[in-house]
Amino acid sequence: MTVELEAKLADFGLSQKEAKVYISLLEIGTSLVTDVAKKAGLKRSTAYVVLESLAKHGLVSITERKNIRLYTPAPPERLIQNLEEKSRRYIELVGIAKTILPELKSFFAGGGPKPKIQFFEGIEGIKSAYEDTLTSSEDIRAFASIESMHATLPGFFPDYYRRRANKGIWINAIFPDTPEARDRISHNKEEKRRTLLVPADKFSFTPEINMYDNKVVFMSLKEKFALVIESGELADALKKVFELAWMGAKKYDSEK
Amino acid sequence: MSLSRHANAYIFDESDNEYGTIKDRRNKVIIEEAQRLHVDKLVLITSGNSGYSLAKMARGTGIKVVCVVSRRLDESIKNLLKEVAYHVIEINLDQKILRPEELITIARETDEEVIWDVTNGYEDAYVSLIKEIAKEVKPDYIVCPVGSGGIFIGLIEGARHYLPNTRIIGMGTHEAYQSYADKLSTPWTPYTRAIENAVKEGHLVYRLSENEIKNIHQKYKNYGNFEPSSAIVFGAFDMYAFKPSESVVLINSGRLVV
Repeated sequence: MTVELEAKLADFGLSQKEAKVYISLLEIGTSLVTDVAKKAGLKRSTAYVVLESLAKHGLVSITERKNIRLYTPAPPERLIQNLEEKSRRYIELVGIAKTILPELKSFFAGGGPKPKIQFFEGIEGIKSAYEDTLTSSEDIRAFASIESMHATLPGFFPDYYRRRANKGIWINAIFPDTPEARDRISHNKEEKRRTLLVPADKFSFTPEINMYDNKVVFMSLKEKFALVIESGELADALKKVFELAWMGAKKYDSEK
Repeated sequence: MSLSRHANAYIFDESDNEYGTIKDRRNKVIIEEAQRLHVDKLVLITSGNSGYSLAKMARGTGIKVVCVVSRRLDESIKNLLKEVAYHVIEINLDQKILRPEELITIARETDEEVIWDVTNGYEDAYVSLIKEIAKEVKPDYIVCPVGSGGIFIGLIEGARHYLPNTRIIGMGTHEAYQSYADKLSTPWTPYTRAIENAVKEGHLVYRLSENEIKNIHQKYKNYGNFEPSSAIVFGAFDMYAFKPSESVVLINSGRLVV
């Protein structure tokens, strides 16, 4: 039991010897260093050093009578007080960290904006990438295949479409012309989607590529991974590529 | 949000915020964080608006707000702050730059208190403003006032994510003390290096003389609810040659609250 208590006290920041000496002192009450050392099973010189350290933690008080040092344990509640003090100190440090954050960040950002790449694996990873699209502040531009999307994440999309629409985020999408795509575009209005269909025999594809804000998201729905690239330069270029494709797709869409 | 259009220029009006200042955004985040971590007291150096907004937001939360102000601050502003803040401490700020630890010591009444200095930091709170602009328009430029630089840096952070092709123009004063644009006087700021980095990235900062600031305020004060520290954004039209095809959002950072 004592060993367990000693281990618990270690969690509060006491060393094993400090825990041993404090518990011994609690048991025997005000004592000489020799008595404490004997009870704790330590050398006298070691017990002396440990008692002085406990005094610094406020867990032991020292009195002198006729040139003899007597050690008295502080009540165990002092441990809680110590922790509360530490806790207050740490919260104040959080506040100070927040105020020095601007200076720290200015060193971190020394070389200007850095492109950021996130790699997501598996079905859950692809879902994470779709969730990121819901942070878009603008219309999403997308190359997408409805069959691949719905086959890869069955049950995910009705809710995703609803949440995107509720956030007021429109999507401009180019789909291969398939029965599933035609069925989906019948919901375009409520799902805030503008679409153009392109011939599936010429332009069939399975991945989804989204562009919004400073991000380009590639979702490989067969190989089950997603790549989110944050780069203003790349996003800008690929948005322009999409606009070019959109112009071209209009020709096919009008022929359908 | 209030975004009004004037040819290719838009005004994003933050004077409509609950306590009339762009700082409301930051103060809301501070109060939420302080409540989450059970902070007892907040201390900040203020010229009026920010301290007033923070003290008003803290009401009913149990969090005490201590405003540290310059002895030279207008008496009417001090009195208004005294009505809403837990404590207003006057210091000769012309002669001393106070660091967070010193401010916390000044505000401390008991050892048990957990105190945060919130004079600087929390600039991420302004990213929300960029998101709101981005939903309406993708401007070539956004113009904001520059005091310590927190708003300027926060907007740049937001623009990186939501308006990657937009450049931020900051308008400030040459005067570190007692400018006519009083909310922009800053003897020391932790954002100095960040501002230098931003300029290297292509964003712009212009510092105006007192005469220029006064003239701009006289010219534009009735254009909306602009005080001198807010009206300074119109100075961008004198300092930078915008092309007719380019769009600009001017941020009205607040009205004269205190």
